[in-house]
Amino acid sequence: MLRRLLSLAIVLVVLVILSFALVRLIPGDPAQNVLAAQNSTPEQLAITRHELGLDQPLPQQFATYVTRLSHGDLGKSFATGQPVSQLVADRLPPSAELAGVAVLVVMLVAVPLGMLAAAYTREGRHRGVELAFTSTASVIGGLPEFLAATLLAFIFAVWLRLLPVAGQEGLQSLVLPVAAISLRPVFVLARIVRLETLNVLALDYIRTARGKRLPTRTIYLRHVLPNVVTAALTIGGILFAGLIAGAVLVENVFARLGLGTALVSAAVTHDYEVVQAIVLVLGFTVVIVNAAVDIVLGIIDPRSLARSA
Amino acid sequence: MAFMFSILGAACGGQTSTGPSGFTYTAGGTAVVRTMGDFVNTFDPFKVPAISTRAFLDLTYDTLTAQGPNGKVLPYLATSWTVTPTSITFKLRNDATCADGTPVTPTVVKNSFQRAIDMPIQYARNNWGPGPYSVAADDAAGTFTFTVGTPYSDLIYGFGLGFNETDIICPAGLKNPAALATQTFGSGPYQIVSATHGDQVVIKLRKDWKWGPGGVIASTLGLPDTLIFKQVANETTAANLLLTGGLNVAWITGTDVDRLLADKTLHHADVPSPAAYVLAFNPTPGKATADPVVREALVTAVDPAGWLQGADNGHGSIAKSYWQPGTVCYQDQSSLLPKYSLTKAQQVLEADGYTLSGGKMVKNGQPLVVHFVDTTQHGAGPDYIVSQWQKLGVTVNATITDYATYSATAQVSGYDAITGVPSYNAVPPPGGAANRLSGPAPPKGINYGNIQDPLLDQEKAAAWASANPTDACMHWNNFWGEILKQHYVFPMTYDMQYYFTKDFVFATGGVAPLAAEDGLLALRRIKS
Repeated sequence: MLRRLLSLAIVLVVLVILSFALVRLIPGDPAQNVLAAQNSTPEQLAITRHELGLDQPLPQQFATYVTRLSHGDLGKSFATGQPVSQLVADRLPPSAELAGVAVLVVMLVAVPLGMLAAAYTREGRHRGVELAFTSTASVIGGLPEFLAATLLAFIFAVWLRLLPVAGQEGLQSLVLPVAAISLRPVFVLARIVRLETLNVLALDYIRTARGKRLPTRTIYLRHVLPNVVTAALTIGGILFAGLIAGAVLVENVFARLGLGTALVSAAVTHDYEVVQAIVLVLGFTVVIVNAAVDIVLGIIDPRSLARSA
Repeated sequence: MAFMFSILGAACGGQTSTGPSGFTYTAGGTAVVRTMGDFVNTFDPFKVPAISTRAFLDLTYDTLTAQGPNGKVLPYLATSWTVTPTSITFKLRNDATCADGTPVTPTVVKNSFQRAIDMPIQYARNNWGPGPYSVAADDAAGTFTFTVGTPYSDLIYGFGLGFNETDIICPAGLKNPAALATQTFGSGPYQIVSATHGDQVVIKLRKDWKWGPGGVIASTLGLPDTLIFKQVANETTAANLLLTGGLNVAWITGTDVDRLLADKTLHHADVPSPAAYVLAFNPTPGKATADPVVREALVTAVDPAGWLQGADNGHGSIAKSYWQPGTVCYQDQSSLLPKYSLTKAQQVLEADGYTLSGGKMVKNGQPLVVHFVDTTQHGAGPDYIVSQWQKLGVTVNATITDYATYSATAQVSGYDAITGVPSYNAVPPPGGAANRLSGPAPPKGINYGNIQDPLLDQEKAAAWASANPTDACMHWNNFWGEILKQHYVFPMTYDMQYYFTKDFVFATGGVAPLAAEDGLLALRRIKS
């Protein structure tokens, strides 16, 4: 446990350093963006840089950033002057809602889908179905989220007018964004679940269970599912990071007021404080979720603890 | 530049080429207007440069003048004015009142401008000339006088083009400057009802507002009672919202334009950019582009029609001058622009001592190398230019990059050739952009290309010192003529901006139909 906490602390320190450094690699001058005028005079730019603290040497800027961070102060947005902690507090719930529902959808769809595909195609049966499943999963599994979002919006919102184009009013507005970010991980995970199920189905104890004429449902739910869930959780933790990245893009397509729209807007306007804070929050979330997955795995499959020890 | 258009909002342009006709107006109701960025955390009009904030904030304040089609100055709070090379005396109307009922007197106007002059950052300084500035009011005569220490013939354009310090702040705001950050203290047509970061701002029409530009008053049929400024950053999402009724007004660019133009439920005001997309050169000694003959060859090798297709999918037109036809002082200078011919371009270089060797233009054993900078926001336009110059035998080091890098490179003069269009939130005055093409280079000035030409300095000074507009225009046309003759800048095309509306149209003849700021006073709801 101590070792896990130590590695978590190291990851967080690296995250703080990277969030500070990476945003400053974006070319361009935040002061120019704040002034929003091409004809800004050098004096105007100098005053603005001073107000933003950008005239200080980088090590000093970093020291200020870390000191403030240690007091829970995330600074103020360069662009709007809004406290960043307030912005994060406002934007986190919609993003968490989107990611949370998407994770649920991925797990609830991918695991049964993968197991069903395995059951139907085990021992070389239904070659055509196997081919259709694997090729569909490969194509959709490679579909970028922003493209899926654009296509879904065009078909279901603009063409068929069944769902809203954008916004976050009601459950209806959640359907397309969730579908857009879930589609890829669903098929990626379903492929893995299928393979894992096929492996489990080939094991001796499953043959024994079949030999004992146990009902198929019992075999799948009691003997296959626990083994498959372990793999699904392991991959799910990794997919979660991708899902977060997808949410950032998809929120922009559906004009949702989440951390993703704030991050993209801040990156474009070189709003350092906002980018740093959101990268930190998203990075921290991924780290925590993966740590939680490890703990859950340790509980449901103690062998995983032994493997990571 | 393109950045302003794409990131900060829909507020550029100047004149309309199409106008609505045959529409019947109906009670205004609510219009949802697209804005691209979040508003800043202060409503103090003198501290807000962001167009996304100015889009609604300016509608809560009045200005002395407004902008009509082609940059024409329209009366607003000022009914008339008298201009000298160093001053303007405005005759003010006497019926305007602040939202709290206080009359807008010449002294109120004077005090507002005095605060503007005293601000540490003066955004409007470029529009009032070098100064120094002083103000005076005569309440009995109903006049307000703005005086500049240095003659500046463009001064009249600096009081109503949406620049920061031109909004008139009422006495209650000046008495309590801290409150300006959270409330508005204007006499404008609308008042803020609510503002939610990242989402929307709602403003409502003042029923007693009856002193608008071009005769617009609160009871004008079709003028929206409520305006909702909805933040939608993504172009495709904004286009989809327009089609499905989630937005009523939006400025749209890029590949979504064609499908919106094809939709019969939408209307559009087509607004050409006030200035041309240009190819600009850096003539700093030591650079290949310091040689005017090289510049001539490079522009002769570029067909503006090729750029138009590559950069704008063919939307727009070929430039005849740096400025758009119809703008103040406009002169057709197409005779000064080289006609496209790759053969002629090659001959120009050969006459200058270059020879074609192995497909490369070489002089004294040295290849002709040009560092070309452009942004990916210009579509396939940059690729077209690179390919033309390569055909000419030029070795092109191209940096086709994101806007931030492009902009940063431009500001430190880190290029031989670059493309761009000046950005303005309105049609600029005749001398607009002059300081970007003459005078001190960075860091002392904004002459990014480091163009040092005594004739330009002379004509610019003479234009700004001119006592009458005709003389000023003559000098400006000499200035722009010299720019073209020396091939410092090559105007290629006029970009077309599309303001799409659903259930609304932009009325013509009054304020310029822009999808932000005072331009929204031209918006009218139509009977469907």
